[in-house]
Amino acid sequence: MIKIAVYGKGGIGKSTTTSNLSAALSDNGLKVMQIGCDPKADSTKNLVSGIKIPTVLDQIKEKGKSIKLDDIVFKGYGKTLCVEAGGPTPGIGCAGRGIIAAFEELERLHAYEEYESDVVLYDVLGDVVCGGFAMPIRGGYAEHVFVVTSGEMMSLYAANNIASAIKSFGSRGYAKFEGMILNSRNIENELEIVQKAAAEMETQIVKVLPRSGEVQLAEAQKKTVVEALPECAMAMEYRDLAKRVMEAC
Amino acid sequence: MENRRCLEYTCPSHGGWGMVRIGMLIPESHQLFVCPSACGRHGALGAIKQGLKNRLSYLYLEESDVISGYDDAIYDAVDELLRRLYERPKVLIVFVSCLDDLIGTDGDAVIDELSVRYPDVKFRMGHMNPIQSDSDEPPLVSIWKNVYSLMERDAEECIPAVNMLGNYVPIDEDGEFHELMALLGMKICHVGNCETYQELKEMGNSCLNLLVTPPVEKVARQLKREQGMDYIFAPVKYDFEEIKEEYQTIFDKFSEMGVISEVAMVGGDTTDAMDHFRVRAEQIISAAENKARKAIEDAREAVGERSLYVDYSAFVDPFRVAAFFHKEGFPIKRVYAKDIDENQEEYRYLVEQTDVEIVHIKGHDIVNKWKESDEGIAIGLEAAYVSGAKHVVSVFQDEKMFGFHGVCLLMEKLKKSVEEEVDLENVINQAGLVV
Repeated sequence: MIKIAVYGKGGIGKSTTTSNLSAALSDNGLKVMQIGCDPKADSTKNLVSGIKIPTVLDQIKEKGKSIKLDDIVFKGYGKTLCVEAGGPTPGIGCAGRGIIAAFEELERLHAYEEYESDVVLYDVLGDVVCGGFAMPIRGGYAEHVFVVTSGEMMSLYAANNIASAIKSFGSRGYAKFEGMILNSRNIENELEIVQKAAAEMETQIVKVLPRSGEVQLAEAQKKTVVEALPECAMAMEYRDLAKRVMEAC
Repeated sequence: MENRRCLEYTCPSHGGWGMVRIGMLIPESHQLFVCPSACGRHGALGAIKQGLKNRLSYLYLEESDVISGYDDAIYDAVDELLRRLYERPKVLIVFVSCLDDLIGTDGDAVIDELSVRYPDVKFRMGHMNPIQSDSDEPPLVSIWKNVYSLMERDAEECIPAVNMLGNYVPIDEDGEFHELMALLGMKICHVGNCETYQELKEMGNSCLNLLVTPPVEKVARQLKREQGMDYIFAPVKYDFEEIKEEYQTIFDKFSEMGVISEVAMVGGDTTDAMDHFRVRAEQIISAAENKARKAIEDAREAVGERSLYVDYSAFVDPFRVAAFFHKEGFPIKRVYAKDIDENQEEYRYLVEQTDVEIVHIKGHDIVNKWKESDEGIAIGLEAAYVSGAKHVVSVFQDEKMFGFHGVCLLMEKLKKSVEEEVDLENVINQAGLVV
């Protein structure tokens, strides 16, 4: 089982990238579990035709100890399995604790062993801002980390923070920073800017995803590009991303 | 859900064995609590009363630690602590409180780092987090895991010894269980009898773990998985038939493991030795049963018409004990319970076939039953406080009791309680409880 965490600044396209990655890996015959770690709980929506699946935290609240795996793991496109950790209402509670609690519940229910997934993808909100958001890259969880970024400064700043967190956990033998996925915004000299940043972070660009209107077209159908427009150029890019990610791991 | 909306009542005689005291069962150990200062009150006062204060230290957290995390503060505190202690502990438990459930300190990583820095000390991460009481690993399960995970199997073959896990104090050595185990050449081990960390570690070489209370099941499963230590449940029973069945279960287990035949073979012919064991075991059990029968008769006569009030702090399973008292003709009047399983056989027996009252001791309506029973006998200090009984049997969680001898011990205590009225405050202080 390969466990991968995808980090990056909020709004950079992590969930879109991760969902398409899941779909492409699934098309290659792999069983993929995608775990959304964002209180918005919309990481997997394009894998389940836009349906809002119940989150782990909501189910814990509602069902307590009687919670079962079927309550929190949902079949999505192809061989994908979808989980949303969930989180508090905006402005109250603690999102970091939410991730910890959701992960503990998945572990308690032996989610990884039961479904025997080939790949687990953690789609993690934003930055590694606290202990809760570091959970996916701790021992026993993701062994590989990819950061989605564009050439915009704030996005690279977040990427640098994430790289620092991974580095500081390095001595604990935890996850390895495998590289950056450039989700292009078509800003001037974008590739050069990100290449320079990658070099400073002592990492590499694993894949450059071009900006494409096909992403919006697929999202309008509440699907991933890989599912909605499997023959289009962008779908090929995501398939190439899947290949490169697996090679890196 | 109904209970969550209500305040729970905690009476001043609540307590007994908490995280600190259980952790202190580990010989040559020290505890460092990492928590806001207010979280330390109960544990610190308890440790003073129980004579354990020199083995307990605190690292008080401030707001800046909460914001920044406190991994480094723990390393610094451990460093200072180990430098300052007159005797270097063999085991150090670093406790964190409920606060850490929000902070999310990577406990495993902290322990790994400390183990690298101080290879001569065994580190464990403890969780004093009642917020997790409903979880898969509540504090009691977690602390027992810390204690027994220190057992290490280093011998190629297990030794003829059996560990009793989950009871706070060792069972009385004069009991028939000791005699029966001696007949098999088996030593009975208990963490409370270990004077050194090495002795606790060596308990890992015993051939079987007997689980006396449910919270140790998790660590027993872990020990079986990781070290191949087999286990069976052996809770304290009082009903005579149940005691005999439990002995049979234990002997069957030994038989299955080949332990009985190996020991018996030492004497020569296996079959003869096995027969000899069975005959002797039956004699021992029968003699113990007769003594227990006599003890019950004497206690019943001494108790007379006085009502008995039993609580959950005195016995792991108060319903089982209450049913036993009722069947043996004692005037049992009330059970002060905490957790109620309405499907439990003994609970149903009490509700459906007797007049025994079941009272939720933490319920707010406990005040309706307040101090109305001063002529009765309370078994357990919480029952004593709430009922107002002047005659009290001070016992925690079946301590020292097992088998027929356990029945005798309980009956002796009951008889003694009739003879004198107690000063409850004094008893509470003697028990080391924190009001």
